[in-house]
Amino acid sequence: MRFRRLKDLLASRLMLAVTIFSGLLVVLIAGGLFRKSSPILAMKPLSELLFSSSWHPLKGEFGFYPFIMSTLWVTGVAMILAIPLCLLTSIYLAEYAPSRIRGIIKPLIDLLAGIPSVVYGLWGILFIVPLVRNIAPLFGSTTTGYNVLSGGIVLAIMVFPVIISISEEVIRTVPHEMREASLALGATRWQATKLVVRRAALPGIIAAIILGFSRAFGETMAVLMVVGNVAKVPSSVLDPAYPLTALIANNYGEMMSMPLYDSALLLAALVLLILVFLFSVGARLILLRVERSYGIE
Amino acid sequence: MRKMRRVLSGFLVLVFLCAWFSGCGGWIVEGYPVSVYTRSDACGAAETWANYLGDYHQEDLGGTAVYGDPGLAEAVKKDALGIGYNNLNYAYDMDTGKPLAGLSVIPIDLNENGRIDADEDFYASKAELVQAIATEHYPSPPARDLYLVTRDEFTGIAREFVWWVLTDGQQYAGEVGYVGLAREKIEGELSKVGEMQPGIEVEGVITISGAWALYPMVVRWAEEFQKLHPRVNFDISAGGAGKGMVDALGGMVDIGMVSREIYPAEIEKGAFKVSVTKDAVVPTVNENNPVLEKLVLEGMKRQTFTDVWITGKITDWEDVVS
Repeated sequence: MRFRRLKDLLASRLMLAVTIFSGLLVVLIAGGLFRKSSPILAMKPLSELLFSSSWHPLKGEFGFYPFIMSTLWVTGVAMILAIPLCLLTSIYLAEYAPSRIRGIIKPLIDLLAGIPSVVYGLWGILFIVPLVRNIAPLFGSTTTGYNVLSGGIVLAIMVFPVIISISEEVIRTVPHEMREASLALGATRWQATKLVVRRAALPGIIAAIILGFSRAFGETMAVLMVVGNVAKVPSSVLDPAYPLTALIANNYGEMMSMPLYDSALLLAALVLLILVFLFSVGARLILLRVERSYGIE
Repeated sequence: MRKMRRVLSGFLVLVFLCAWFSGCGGWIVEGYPVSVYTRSDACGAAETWANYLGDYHQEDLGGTAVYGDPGLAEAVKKDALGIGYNNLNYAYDMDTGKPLAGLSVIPIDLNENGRIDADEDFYASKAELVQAIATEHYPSPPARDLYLVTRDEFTGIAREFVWWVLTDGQQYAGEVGYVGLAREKIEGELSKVGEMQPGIEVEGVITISGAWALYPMVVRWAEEFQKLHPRVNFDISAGGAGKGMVDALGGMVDIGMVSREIYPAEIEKGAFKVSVTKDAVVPTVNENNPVLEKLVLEGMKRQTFTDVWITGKITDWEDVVS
């Protein structure tokens, strides 16, 4: 009898320890990055590092502004492309699709999640970059095709499976009675979806979008292969960009022997971490507000 | 109604496909704007090319930056108005020794007389160019030395290996696609390595890490060295020149592979380098370049390259040639 209790106690303590450890990981990573980036923080004022556009490390100029803006641009474009497409797809799959079609499409979309990001990058170079290059002149401008738009398209496709499968699951968990009540009142399927299902599923859909965003922020390889990597603040979607993740991946192996360069790259990692952190806190606040206003606890 | 929708969407798809495959937008824009490409990943090739253009570094090179040597070749191959630079092994086809299908190598107008003379014309095949690099007709940079580095000096079996690389090992350079060092140069490097201690037991593990650019060559050398000394084992990893430098300076490996010049900060920390082989970076354009004929006849001057990659003064292909 006592042994049984002991086992329970042990198990709960063990799980507590493991949970604390995984919670602490993010603090450990941030701490390590901060320690490693302190040499450059000691040498340059933070405002210059964050808001200067001049990136010439060998001359001692470290301005992260173009990289921060590029990260925001590429992620923003990706989400603008992804959100409507994903929502329409998940609504169709959950509300309209006959189970046969759903059975075929769903696994195909899930398969997208398993494709390695280098493959997305190669595919981007082979198909998206020429597409963007050849279509840009129709809008009166020229581009090499390596730009924010190409990066955004590739990234959007990469976040599809995340957003689609989660929001589809969420929409399907909305109780059937709610739909049936509204259909019984003579609403069309679209009206039922728009007025009833959407309200109930919104918090879950927002959570799905947040997850998609986090994936988009951190994606490295595929983006760096198509985005052009020019350290200048982009002023349109046809300009090249240079996200923080690409900066680190491009330079770390070659430049880690230069003390200040090394420290600058780790600062870039820290900035990215803080950016993602701020974003998810912001998103969670929105989520909380939505849940409150709908009276869901 | 439904039929009309089908026709309309089919038409739209057609327009997209046309634009995609034919690049039909070309005629809308005036002239032939140069699409400048460079490497996004920090690398010896870009650093060497920037050195050739003047007192510059990779961070000063303008243009769209693409990942990796094959990536850069692919970008120029896909863009009729593109210009880039590649390592020897990526500009020329391994099997045929001719420039890669879709690429043309731009001759450099070394004496700046506005045309390519017979003694400047060595780009038709890789063998010819290798010969020009070895005899230093092709300038350095953009030809470059590749280095093995360590802290202070090579010792023990690592020194044995470096000595062998500089002597018997040189014969394998050509096979793997590199350029062997000239005789006088080898003697200079050997004197840096220092006299051999006789009777050293050649056994143990030699650890090496560093530049991708040197990796295939060192792997080949290791294989051949092992045939002579079966009791030596190698542990070779590639992770970038900077990693090779950090590992070698920190004593984590016996030998670091470095594909760029050594920075002063690294020499202060005790970096010791020996040239072991050569490689070269060559400027490349698309084979459908609008002014290709003139380019081949006239070549490009160093200042023109600088105006394309650094100052941005030249933006149209018609200004590149006379």
